[in-house]
Amino acid sequence: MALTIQDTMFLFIQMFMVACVWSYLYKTDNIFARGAAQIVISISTVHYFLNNLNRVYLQVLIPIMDGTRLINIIPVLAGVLFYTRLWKGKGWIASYSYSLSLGIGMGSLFTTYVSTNLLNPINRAITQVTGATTPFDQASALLAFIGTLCALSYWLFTVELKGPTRYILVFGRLFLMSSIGILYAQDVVWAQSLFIGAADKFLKFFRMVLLGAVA
Amino acid sequence: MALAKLGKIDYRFIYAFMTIITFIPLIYPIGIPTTVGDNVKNYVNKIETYPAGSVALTSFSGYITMLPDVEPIYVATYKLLFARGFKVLILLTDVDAPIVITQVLNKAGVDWSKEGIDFVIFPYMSMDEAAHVVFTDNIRSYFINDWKLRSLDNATNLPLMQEIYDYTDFDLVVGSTGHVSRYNVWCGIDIVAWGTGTGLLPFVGPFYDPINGPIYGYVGGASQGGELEIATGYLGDGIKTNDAKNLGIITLCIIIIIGNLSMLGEKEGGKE
Repeated sequence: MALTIQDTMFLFIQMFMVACVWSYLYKTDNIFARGAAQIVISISTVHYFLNNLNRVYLQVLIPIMDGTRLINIIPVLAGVLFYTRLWKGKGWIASYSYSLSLGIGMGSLFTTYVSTNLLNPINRAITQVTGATTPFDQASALLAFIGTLCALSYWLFTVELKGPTRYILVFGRLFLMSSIGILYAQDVVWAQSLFIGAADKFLKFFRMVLLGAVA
Repeated sequence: MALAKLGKIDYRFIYAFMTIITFIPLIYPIGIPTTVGDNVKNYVNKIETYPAGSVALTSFSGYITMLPDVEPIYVATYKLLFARGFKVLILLTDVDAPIVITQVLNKAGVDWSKEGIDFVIFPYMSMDEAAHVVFTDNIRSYFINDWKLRSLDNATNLPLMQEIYDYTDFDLVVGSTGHVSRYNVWCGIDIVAWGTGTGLLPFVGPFYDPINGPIYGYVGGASQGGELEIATGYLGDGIKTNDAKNLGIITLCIIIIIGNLSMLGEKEGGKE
């Protein structure tokens, strides 16, 4: 199927924007890289603003106007109160909205946060040791358990440990560095994936527009 | 001293070298072997245990900036879900998601005439903790329409929604790797997790157990997206770009080792 002018323009813009961003690697402060960054930021701002505006209109205001969900008036009022920050001397009114939003947000967040990031990992570190069946799993679970205790010691003890006990902190630090190393490696793989995605867009232009290949 | 000199190479040569290394396999695929990991096999196996007609809730974050990392996972998963006869609910949890979902479902070969019968897409709503509670407890207290503003109670347009009211009607949740804990806390239903391969995956760990759940399998990042394509048989962009990913990572590892050796050389040189 032949490319339409719209497709060609789209592929060209994709390729051009990728080239502009990549120019940053050659020279950090250049007009192409800065231009691409400004375009993306401005389009994103408009996109997010209009989408959220549309969402509020369709999901919140219309149900109020047709009377199906009058309770939506409360979040709308709370939202409007945020804008009192724009008037000198009236900004304190917005603190009610902040309090409401932060209070509810933190309350519901902590219910899951404590379970996810505190109780479950601790529970898992203990049950892995007792539940492991093969010798390899047992050794692995034991190492993770000891590592968890040492890493916790590293963060929690504010008293400097001396003598043989200092090795607890050394082991804890090594364990933390290993974990952070894995996270960093995952980030590198992620960045590589994005780089390949951009490279693919670059190639698409050459293949489909310049060489006339079919998608 | 020779090692120390390596560290003085202009960084632009390294970037250019990495670019060439990435482009070569995209133009001429090499076919580096890919092994499917247990977590990916468990992800597929879990989905395949459900009979046709089961209901799967898919939490679709779909950031445009993350797309190269997650698109192969989304596409292969939707292909698998529809091929297995699942009824699919799609929750759009990011502002980009309404745009991205169309592209992903088109790539998955979805029949749009079956919208409302085989699948339903909810409008985008920011899905924080409180929103998850309300949504899972009673879908209609959160959404009154689908993403095309058709009432969820309209049996003509959305017959699928006439059987679904809350989380007890879901058989499986395909949750974002960063959000899975929320489903576990509020629902306690079977979960498989999908998402990026970055720091989000550690959230999955405490919940991952292929036998007892609640998370039975997970797929994170484009590399595992390629593995998922092999495991499901739906080959696509993931496997196509795996060569470039693998070759790029191997090269990067070599560059990091050389960089460290050069730093070591510099230190030794300083001592002399």
